Amino acid sequence: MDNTDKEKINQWSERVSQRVDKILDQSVERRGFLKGLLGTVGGAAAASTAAGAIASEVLPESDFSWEKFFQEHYKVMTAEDKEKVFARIETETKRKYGVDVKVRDPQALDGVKFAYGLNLSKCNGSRMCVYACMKENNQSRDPQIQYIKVIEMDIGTLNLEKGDMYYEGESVPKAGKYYLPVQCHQCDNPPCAKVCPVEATWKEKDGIVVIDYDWCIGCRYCMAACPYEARRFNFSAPKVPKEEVNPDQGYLSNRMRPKGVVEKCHFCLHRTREGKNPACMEACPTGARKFGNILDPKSEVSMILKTKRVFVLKEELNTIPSFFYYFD
Amino acid sequence: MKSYLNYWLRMIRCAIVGPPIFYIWNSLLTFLFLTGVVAYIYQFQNGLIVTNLTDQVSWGAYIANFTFLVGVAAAAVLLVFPTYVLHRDDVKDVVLLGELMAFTAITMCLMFILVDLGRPDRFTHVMPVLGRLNFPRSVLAWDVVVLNGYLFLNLHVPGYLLYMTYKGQKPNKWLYIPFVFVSIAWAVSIHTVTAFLYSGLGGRPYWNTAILAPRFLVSAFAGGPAILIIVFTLVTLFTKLKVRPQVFDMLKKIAMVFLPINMFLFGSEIYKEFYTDSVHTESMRYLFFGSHGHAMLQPYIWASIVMSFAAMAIFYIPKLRQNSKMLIFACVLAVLGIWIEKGMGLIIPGFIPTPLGDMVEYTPSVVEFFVCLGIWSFGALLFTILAKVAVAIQVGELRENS
Amino acid sequence: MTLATMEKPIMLVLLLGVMTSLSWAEPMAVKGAIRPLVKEAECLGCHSKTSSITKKKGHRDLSSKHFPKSGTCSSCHLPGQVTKLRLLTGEPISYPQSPILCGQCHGLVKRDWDHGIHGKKMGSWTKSGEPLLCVQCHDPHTPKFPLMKALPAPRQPQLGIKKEESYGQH
Repeated sequence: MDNTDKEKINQWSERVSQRVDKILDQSVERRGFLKGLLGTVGGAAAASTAAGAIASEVLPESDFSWEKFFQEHYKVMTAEDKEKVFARIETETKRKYGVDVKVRDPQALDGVKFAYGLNLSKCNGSRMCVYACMKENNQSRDPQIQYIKVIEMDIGTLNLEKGDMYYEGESVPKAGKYYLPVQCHQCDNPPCAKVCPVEATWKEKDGIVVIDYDWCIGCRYCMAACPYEARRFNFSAPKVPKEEVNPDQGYLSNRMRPKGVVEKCHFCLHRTREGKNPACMEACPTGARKFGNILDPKSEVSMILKTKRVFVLKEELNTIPSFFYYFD
Repeated sequence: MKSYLNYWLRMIRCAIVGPPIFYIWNSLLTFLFLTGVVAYIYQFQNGLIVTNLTDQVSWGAYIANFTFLVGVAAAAVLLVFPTYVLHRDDVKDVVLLGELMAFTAITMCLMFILVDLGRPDRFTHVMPVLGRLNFPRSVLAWDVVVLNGYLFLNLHVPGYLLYMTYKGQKPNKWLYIPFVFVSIAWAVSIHTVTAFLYSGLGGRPYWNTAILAPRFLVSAFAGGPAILIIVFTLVTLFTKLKVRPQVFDMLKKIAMVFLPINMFLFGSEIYKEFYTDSVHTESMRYLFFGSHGHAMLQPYIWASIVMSFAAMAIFYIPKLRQNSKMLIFACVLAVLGIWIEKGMGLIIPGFIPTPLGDMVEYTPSVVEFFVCLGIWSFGALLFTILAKVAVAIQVGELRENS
Repeated sequence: MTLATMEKPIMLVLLLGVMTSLSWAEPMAVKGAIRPLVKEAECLGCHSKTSSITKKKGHRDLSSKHFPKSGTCSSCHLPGQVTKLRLLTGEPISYPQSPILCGQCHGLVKRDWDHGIHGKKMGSWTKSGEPLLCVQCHDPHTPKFPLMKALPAPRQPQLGIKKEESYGQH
């Protein structure tokens, strides 16, 4: 750049400085002030509408809206807020999948704390629980999300390093193996809830660790923290075939999730909080799964905890899982 | 008010006007940055599926770069401490550049976090009123607070001092000295908190070690001088600010102390893992020797070890360390070695094998590579213009009454 | 009838009856995993008191894993009374009471079953409901639980998640 160019730029900046001086020096009349104010407000409104419109264009899939942007955390929402949110979710699901769904929000029952018993002598590794869960909870088929992982282990070891979760089997159970299904243990001391920076996941009164999918920022710290590999991330918008969408949905459980948020097993709270069994338990062909209220001394899980030699995975981490394994 | 606006206009002019090499450098960086922006828009529209991240390896190149850059930001304390506590005037020349480098590093950190989020449109959820920050339980919430605090500190102190220098006024010591002392402790805290992100997770035994926070700080103090030596060499070459040899000496000494300590701490970890030989050591075994047929990280970590030892050797041999070309080479080796050890050698093996024994490997995808390159280019660009303006003010070219 | 005639292998056929549907149960994910219960009336179709067994059909392919190691046909079946089973004491019991019979040897399992912690429960965790009988999951003549084909394994990502996979593996 030669001197003439440099001079030109110097002159330009001088002119700009002089103009700025003029603007700042002159006294502003009230009418002018009001005009300026209105202009600014109008400009801001126009800009925000334009921003919203542009955002909807750039992100057509997530159809940005200011309502969504200002939606509050689940714990802070009022009943009317929730109604609006559920209605919005239902409308969006109808638009994207062409399916009429009902989003409910069943609350935790009093005097109930859920626990799961899993009889490792009976599990035969059929994976019926895995696929029943996928169907019940509208999990993405592509990329594939499965909340439950069934690990084929050699009899005689609890070393998960030696397990294989990708086994195929013409006839299970195979000789010399046992099968260990793992899903979210709804820990009493959950590392995931501890580390979430925005409290998008927390433990409810009945023991279920839930996620507010509309609050999660997708940082995936909870996934790093979970010792049981229980959480899944939506790397892209989930794809569920229309005809397989389960229309009976819960806001904290199986409503259609957006891209970029974390999800996991939630003990089918839209079913269990109304007295029904979780889908995995219904599907198990051998009766290896037992579920119920640990606070009820007559429930099956209480009997299991009293009479069976139950253990939990990675007990030394003090996560206090609600998922109890035993051999019969 | 008017003069402040004028100050900004003149700074902007200084930032965009310069010699031809300046334009070439800036254009190249801007081009790379825009490539990164395009790559990021592609990622934003399609989701993180365009990266090679998986449920099994859920943090990758972005978080690895973030971790390294927090160390670079913390290294500014190596200049702040001598200037304000030891009252070394030779370092005083460059302390503002160091703080501006910290500011740039933190900006890059925040950008890396933003591109890693699944829902960056929900970034307001970490803010005080609009959001719900899980402070003090979540270490990540602590990280949000300390990083933004450090960003503010490293914006205010150089900003105020440069403005006062520009005006030719003596700065009010109450407006910067307290902040400087806070920033010394704060620099240590940002890297400690970042280390605590990893070391507090019981489910990841590879990270769950008390030595992680000391390792982070020591590697920051080993790699920091190396970066500063490179930066100050460029400043001396291309600007009117001539960094004094005593500053380079000091940085060399710091590197000579901390490079071996870094290797010692890394060595302690290696010993513990391999001698204990428990199941939990599978991650390090995978890193150094491969496991179950997977060995993708093996060449990187061995290269990092070789580079770190080579850098140490060059630093310790007087003839080599006094040769400025060899010195720069040693600094580059040191920085690369530490970058690999902290990024691929720490973050990725923490996920391999997974807590349930699964093994899925990771290497950055094309999209991730261009986004990372874009952010690094943005950082270089930002530092270039900040440094140019700061040097211009410091040497007297940019003054209110000039 | 004498002991000798009881020794003759008596072939029973389990006619396909309608499953005793439990009214509160929800549709099962696994069809056919629960075995149908015997209805007494169907046995009497061939084994009526007045008719002798001249029809050739039925029971020919039956082999009991419970036989001969753990007992004989007459350990569980009453000779001459096909509509009842027998306990070790000789006391006859009806088919719906068969768990008592199984519990004679499989006492620990029966204790668990009594508490509701053995076997499959469906529908609701709040109420116990009618438990399934032993024979609804375990064929008394081939008691070992049948092997199954496992559903497909999950997709293992290689470097990142594969994006071009077609969905619908199940």
